[in-house]
Amino acid sequence: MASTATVQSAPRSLGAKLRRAYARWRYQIGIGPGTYLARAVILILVMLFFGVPVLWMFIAPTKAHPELTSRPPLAIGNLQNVLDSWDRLAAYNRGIIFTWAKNSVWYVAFGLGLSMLITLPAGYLLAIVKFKGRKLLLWLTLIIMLLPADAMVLPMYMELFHLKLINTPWSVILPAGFAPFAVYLTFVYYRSVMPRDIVEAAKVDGCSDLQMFWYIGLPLAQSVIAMLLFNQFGALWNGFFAASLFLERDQLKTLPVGIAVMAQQTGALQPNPSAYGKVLLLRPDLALASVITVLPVIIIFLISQRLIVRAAMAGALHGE
Amino acid sequence: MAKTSARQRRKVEFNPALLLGLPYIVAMLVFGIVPMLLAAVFSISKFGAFRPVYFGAGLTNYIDIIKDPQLPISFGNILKFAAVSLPVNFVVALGLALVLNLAHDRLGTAMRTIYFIPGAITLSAVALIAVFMVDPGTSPIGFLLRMGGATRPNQVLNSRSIVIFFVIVRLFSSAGGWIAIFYGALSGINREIIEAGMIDGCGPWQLAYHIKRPMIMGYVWFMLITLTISSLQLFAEPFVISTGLAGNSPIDQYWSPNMWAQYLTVRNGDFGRSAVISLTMLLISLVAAFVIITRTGFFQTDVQRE
Repeated sequence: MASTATVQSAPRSLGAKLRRAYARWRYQIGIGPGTYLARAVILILVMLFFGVPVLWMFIAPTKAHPELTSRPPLAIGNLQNVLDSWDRLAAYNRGIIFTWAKNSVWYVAFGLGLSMLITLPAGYLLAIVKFKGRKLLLWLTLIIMLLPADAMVLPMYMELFHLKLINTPWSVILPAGFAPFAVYLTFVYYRSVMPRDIVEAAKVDGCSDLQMFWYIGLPLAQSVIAMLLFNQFGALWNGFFAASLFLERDQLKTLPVGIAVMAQQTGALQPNPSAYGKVLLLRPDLALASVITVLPVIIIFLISQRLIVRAAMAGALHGE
Repeated sequence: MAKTSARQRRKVEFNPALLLGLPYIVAMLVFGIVPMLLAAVFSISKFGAFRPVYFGAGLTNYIDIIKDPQLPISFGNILKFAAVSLPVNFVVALGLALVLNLAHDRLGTAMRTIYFIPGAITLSAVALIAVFMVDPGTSPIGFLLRMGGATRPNQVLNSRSIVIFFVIVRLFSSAGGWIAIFYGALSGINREIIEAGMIDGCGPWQLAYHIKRPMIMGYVWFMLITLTISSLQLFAEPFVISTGLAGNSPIDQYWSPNMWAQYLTVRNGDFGRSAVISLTMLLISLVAAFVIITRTGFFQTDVQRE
């Protein structure tokens, strides 16, 4: 008995502690140290490909144009250079970048509002109410949803041209209201949160489909609205082909299209930018414009990445 | 009498909830169906200096496009791009998702997030960054480019390297999203199946290749088809390069079919020939969408439940 107590209270050797820590780590991670190291090396090397250009984009505005070549590419400059770039951007074409930013914000805000107004009731209808033509509507939704957005741009240009909507904000706001992928997501959502028996029970209690939408569907919509906003925001904010085609006047353009316009008008991409443009923009200025354009979307994307992983884990793409 | 009662019955059966779908149906008609039909009509219409003559061109626009020497060039460019881009994106996205999925730790989460960020960057900004990245003077990989003998941007970015350039740019901007989707799908695989494989003596790499990979084949097909149709639509990156680099650009403004169609529409007002190109691209996409729904198993359950 005494010997047992002695064994239990004796301090463990360093080797035993290390073995125990290794066993715990091995259990938590699930792979051996060699595999783990190989995995870490691969992931970090690949990280350079995806991460360094983004890092460069954020660092470039902190340097003056000559410093981009004279200093190491990832060396950080100073705040004064950022302010100088900002001044040049603000002076470019009498501060048109602010107009582009304002355009981007309100086109996206109106587009999102319109798409929510149209999408939520439609997704609910397809998920809960049985009616003739429902299967056809679902099929059309799925097919159009899977078309790349750019595939519809030129046919839509022809239509908007004949409706005299080209070169008006409505040419980008109104098409945003048609969001078949958002309708599909809403459809899947309502199918999962409003099972058939709940719907039948509400009907037995005398609730009409419209009342059900108002009293049950809309209060339940908060989380799907958040998901749709994440989903639609990036697509609308970053939209390039349609915005560059439908909005020809400089005053109507958006930030992503504006960046291309700046590159075209100022020669900042050229090997010798000083030979181009009256109001000179340089590479750090274009990098700053890119940062301003992408920052809101990066924030939204970082949040939505978790949603994408969770959706794929749950087999949401299957609609199961 | 019988007809009247049937009509009355139908009136009684009308469900006002159907009005919930009315704005969506209108939007689908206006921005989904009508543009497609319009493209079909325009492709057989004549657009000259005066009023357009609808249905007046017969197959002339189609014949013009087929005879146009630009056709094999634009479609050839885009096919070359798709042929390289597709396998590269597939191998990188699936391979990295499998490697990430070997363990669940903070390193993996951080890396997945970094891979995902370029997908948030608008394509015009991506194209700009890419131009800076191939300039031996400013690029973080400038030392590698200089070691390869390049001292000026056009020694790296030229007509011979342009397809590879666009492939790398597309990989940079789109692979992160696919990695996240594949990673999510892999993480959703039943733990018991993985453990059964481990009991049978599978190591982590064998588990990844022989058990996890086949279980996400639905996602793989979905990715391949989606990537194919999106590759054919390439526009933003070559557009920024051709306009931003102007005289120094290694490509012209008709490099891809979408650029060519855009040029015909906006610069020439040639809706007829432009409609032929966009309709061709649209039909390819429609067929691919139909294949995804009917053959890959994606979305199938929802339609079949009806």
